[in-house]
Amino acid sequence: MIRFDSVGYTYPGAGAPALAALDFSLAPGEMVVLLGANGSGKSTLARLTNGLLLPASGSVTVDGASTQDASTIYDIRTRVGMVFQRPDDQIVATSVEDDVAFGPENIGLAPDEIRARVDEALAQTGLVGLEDREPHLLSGGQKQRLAVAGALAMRPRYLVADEPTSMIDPVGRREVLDLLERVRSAGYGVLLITHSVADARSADRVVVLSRGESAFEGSYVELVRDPAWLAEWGLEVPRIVEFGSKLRAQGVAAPGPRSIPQEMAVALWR
Amino acid sequence: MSAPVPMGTYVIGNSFVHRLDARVKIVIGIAFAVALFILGEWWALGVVAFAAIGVFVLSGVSARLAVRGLRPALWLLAFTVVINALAPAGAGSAAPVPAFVGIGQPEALVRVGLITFYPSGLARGLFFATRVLILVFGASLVTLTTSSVAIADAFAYVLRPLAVLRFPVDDAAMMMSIALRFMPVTAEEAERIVTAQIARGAQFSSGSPFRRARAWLPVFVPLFVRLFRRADDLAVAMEARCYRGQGRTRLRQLRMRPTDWMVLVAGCAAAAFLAVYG
Repeated sequence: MIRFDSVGYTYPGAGAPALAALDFSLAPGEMVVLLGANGSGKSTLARLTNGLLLPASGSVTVDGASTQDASTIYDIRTRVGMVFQRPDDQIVATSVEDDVAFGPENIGLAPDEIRARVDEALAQTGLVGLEDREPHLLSGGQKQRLAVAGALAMRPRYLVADEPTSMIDPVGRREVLDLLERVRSAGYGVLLITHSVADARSADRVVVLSRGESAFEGSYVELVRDPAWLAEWGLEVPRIVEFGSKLRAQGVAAPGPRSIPQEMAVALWR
Repeated sequence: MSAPVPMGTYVIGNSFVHRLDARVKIVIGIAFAVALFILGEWWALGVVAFAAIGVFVLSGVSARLAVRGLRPALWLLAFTVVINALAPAGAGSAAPVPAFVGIGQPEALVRVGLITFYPSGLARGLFFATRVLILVFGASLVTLTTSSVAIADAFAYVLRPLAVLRFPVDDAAMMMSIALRFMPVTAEEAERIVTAQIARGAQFSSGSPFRRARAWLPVFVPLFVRLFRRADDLAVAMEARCYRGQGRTRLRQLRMRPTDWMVLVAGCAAAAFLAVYG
């Protein structure tokens, strides 16, 4: 379990805190989607989960170990894998398989063990066959899947993805979201950070951050019930949800807010 | 990819040259580079040139790509030849004199207007230019037939003895790998900025040389700002993946096959022979 106990963080030189007295948790096997507008503290929260930033007040623990304990920091970083926003700026090596191997190489594993983990991670992320490809020749979606593979090769328990879909095309975005759902089903705890409300559809739990504080915690269906809330937090109601609620207002039996456009179309056709 | 393939970029292949261990290619390359600067006979230069062309034929790399690597060097070489031709090769000249140039004999001078050309100097200039031409050609053969991963790995290995002198070998290898990784990314970024500046009316190919040079300033500034941001992001990503600059192991274990050893020994012996007798 990743646990935040009334965590506060203020960037050096900044007036207002980026996070204020935040409680938060993520368990293995659950997918939590963290929503918030720019500047709401989302990325700060992500970087606190594995000790890239240390809390100014309160504490962050991963499976019981504090991120402030220097002796366990590398253990924590192998437990919490991270995927960042910009596809290009997190790929270190000059070929796909070498990049997946980067983390395991850093923790000094034996070559056979690294090979086994690389092959496993490539299979999990659907990148088999691209082992020798140079990263700049991959599509945006493939680059982000590669970043996920690099994190999975560390055999983490949690995966924190900080706006992994905001810089890539819609096809790549679908690929990445599907992959994160599969990762969750495989038993990892997944924290998906995004400002797109629609990405939260398959979340077990949704948390909304606003100005460094937790403004909402609940299910996706509860979240999209009131568009006024969302506007206040700088978020937009997904168009499919808006469309469905307008239809229901007209007395049409439209499917619920979790539906995807295809389901909506099929339901209306009937 | 809209960005042009930079010179000397790896071309996938499966020739004898491609399959050779990258360390062997680098060591032989260095041995021949040293030999080239020691030898002073045209015949020895001819042998090296012949060997380089032989390797090129074996590699099956297209002639167009191989020659393209030479183009940037040509202006410099032409300049070398002309400047050398302005002074006689002989006692008192600063540059080393190849053995074939007869010293002390009177030579027929060629006068063009006010400028006097010395045939002996011209010969020396041609010798120097050919030497550099072979060197550049050989280096581009290595990069054309070796993937950047293999080059980075091989360099890390070749540099390893320097660790005794407290040279940060692992850091240097990581820097090299990152540089190779970000070369195409940076080229794309530069092209994007150039396009953006052209869209706003910047002119890169007209006006005085000064104006043209100045047009590049608004390209370099955003390019560098962007690169520094990338470096920051990359550092965070590396830290998140437990990078700490030491105690790393490697996925790829380099293994020399018997043919690699044979080529290594034969290549180094040939280079040594040329350095001593050529």
